[in-house]
Amino acid sequence: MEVTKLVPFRWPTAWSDPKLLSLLEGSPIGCLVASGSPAGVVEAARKAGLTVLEWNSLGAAPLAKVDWNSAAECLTITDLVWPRVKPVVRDRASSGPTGGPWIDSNTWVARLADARAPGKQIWLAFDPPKEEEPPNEAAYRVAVADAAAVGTRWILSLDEKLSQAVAAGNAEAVKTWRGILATAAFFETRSAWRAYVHQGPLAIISTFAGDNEFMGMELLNLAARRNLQYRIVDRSRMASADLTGLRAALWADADPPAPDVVAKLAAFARGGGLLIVPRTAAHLFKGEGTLDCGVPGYELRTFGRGKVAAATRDWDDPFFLAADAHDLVSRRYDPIRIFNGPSYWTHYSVAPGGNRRLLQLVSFAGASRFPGMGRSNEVTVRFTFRHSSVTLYRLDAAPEALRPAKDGNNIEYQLPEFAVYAALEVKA
Amino acid sequence: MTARTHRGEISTRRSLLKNSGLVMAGAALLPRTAWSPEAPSAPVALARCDSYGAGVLPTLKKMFDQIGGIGSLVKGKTVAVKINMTGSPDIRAGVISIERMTFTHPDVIAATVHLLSAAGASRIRILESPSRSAGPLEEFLISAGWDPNDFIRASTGAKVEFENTNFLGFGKKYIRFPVPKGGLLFPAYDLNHSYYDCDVFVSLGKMKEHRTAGITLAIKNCFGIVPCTIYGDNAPVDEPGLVPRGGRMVVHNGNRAIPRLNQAPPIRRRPYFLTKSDEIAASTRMPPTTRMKLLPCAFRSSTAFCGLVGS
Repeated sequence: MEVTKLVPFRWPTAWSDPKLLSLLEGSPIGCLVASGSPAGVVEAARKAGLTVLEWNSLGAAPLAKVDWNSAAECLTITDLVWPRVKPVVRDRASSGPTGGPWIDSNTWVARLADARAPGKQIWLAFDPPKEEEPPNEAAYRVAVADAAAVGTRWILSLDEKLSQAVAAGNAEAVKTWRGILATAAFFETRSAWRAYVHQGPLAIISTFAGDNEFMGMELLNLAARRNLQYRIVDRSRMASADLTGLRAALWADADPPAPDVVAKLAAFARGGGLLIVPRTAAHLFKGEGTLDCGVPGYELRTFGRGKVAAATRDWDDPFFLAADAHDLVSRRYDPIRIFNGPSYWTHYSVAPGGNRRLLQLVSFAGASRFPGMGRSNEVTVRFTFRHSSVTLYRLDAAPEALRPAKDGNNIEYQLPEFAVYAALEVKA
Repeated sequence: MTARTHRGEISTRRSLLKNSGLVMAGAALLPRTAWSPEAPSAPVALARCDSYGAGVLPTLKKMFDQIGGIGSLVKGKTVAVKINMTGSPDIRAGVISIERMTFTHPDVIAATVHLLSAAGASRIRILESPSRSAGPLEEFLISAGWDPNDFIRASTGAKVEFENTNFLGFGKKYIRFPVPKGGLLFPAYDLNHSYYDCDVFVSLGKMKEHRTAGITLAIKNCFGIVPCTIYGDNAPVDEPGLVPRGGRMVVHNGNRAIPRLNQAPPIRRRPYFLTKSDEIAASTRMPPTTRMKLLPCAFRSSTAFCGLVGS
């Protein structure tokens, strides 16, 4: 089987007994990533039909140093976070600027990688946090789901305590291990979802590098956090970028676009789109007239059949830029509306052909004590597009058709209890 | 209840009642100039409405009739309607929507718009200062799952507009509203232009408990007209911020208010919420010109009406 279709597992260095390969039987794991593992293990693994790759052969690198033109089948990214709600320091909870909990997720990194190397399988390499209480089963399952929800794969990696306990046959540890494998298997059996394209009304355009790295990347992070769905357009691929179907395009970089790009963006706006540009690029899109703008810090100009929102001050805070973009684009065009969702990271994607859409929710809440912040049976979802049916997928339950509930004139779906992850597949 | 009300110090109804005696005693000691203007003596209508939905409009219409009609007040006028949207719009109590908890219900807003329009108002401006936000008010409504167009369609002819009054908004400058008799916290408040550029002001509150004030009614609703760019958390000291950088906890907690309160010893004995809300409300009653008028009966009746429906 091609490496790109395999689930990778970082074989623990302490697992020197080939018999431990039996732990992988019946699992979706198809590739061992080893670092100097005993020859006996490697040989036995290959005999069992597993692919074995040396860690050093992966060319793993931080996002900024990945060779996007590499011939490697998989691109492995390092220097990532352990996906979770940011840890509490003493008695103080960490929260984001929105007041919701601050969530560490790798999904925006994974999506940026996909935008830079379309079609390549992305592997995410990160380990459980050290020097603190090891993650529990739910935390491991979140780590799997956080990567899989955007079509990437986490190189499964166990903390030392868990790997030792699993090797020793500790029942609780083996249960956790089985839970991790079951979560990975869930996504492998729904591999068609990997072909779904992440969509949204807004295109975020940047080099996401150099002087633009902080603003561009944090914008991706914070826009996703506020459920502003977007497409990523890397400037290096601007010429071939497809802007059809978008409501708005945001040029996030302080340096203004080149003339050919100006022409492309101007055509987008003239065709009816909204173009959001920084102060430094405002002079390139003068437009025909000005309109009242309800978002402070912008001049709204008519531009053909569309508009240009030109910043009147320099952008210095990606949180406010994400909020501004959401206000300028308008939530009217959000494909989904979620209530009680601050502890969830949502992913919206559309099947090729557009007849199916997918909303995935990864829960970072754990055992939240706060109403509306954690209990999954309090989450309500609305879709702002026409649809005929909604099927709910959960990790530990059979798929089920969701029945709509009516709230005034609105159709919405109240989700039943779920742990860690849920997906709603919506048919046109 | 004391002048010092801090975060996490929650007023209960029991404590509110217990302290009300002290409040009354303390208030009696206040010089007359410290009080708000005389309470209006216009008629008040109260009604029972069993649920939101179709029953809201006829009930509210009857109430407006009971107070003598509103045509003479609003015909040909610009009416500002301050609604109450406290909290995050996309947070529910379980599956109970926010309008059934802390927000003025959209049915009440739509019915009010309809009746104001039918009574001849030429322009209706729906106003609120959503915490921490400088985004368009329509966006806040959409986040709650509402459609702002519903309010536009509710009008029979009056132009319906929305404005977030938490910052400068569509105005060019803040308008200074002096507090009658000099004020207790501040001698004046700088507000969004919308509270000046109107002929009639309606406070369309939501009857509910409030952790600082004990209860929210029409006057407490006016607490939310102060822009967070000036009176909010992390607001610049010397000049208004461009956008809010936080909520209204600074004023809630009294961090800014206490020093001013200490300058006037009798004020220490005054309930904090009355001091602030009365003062802010009073400032809206007495703009630099006499263009603004209150709609006391209407807002009082509608507020009571909201409370009955919501309880």
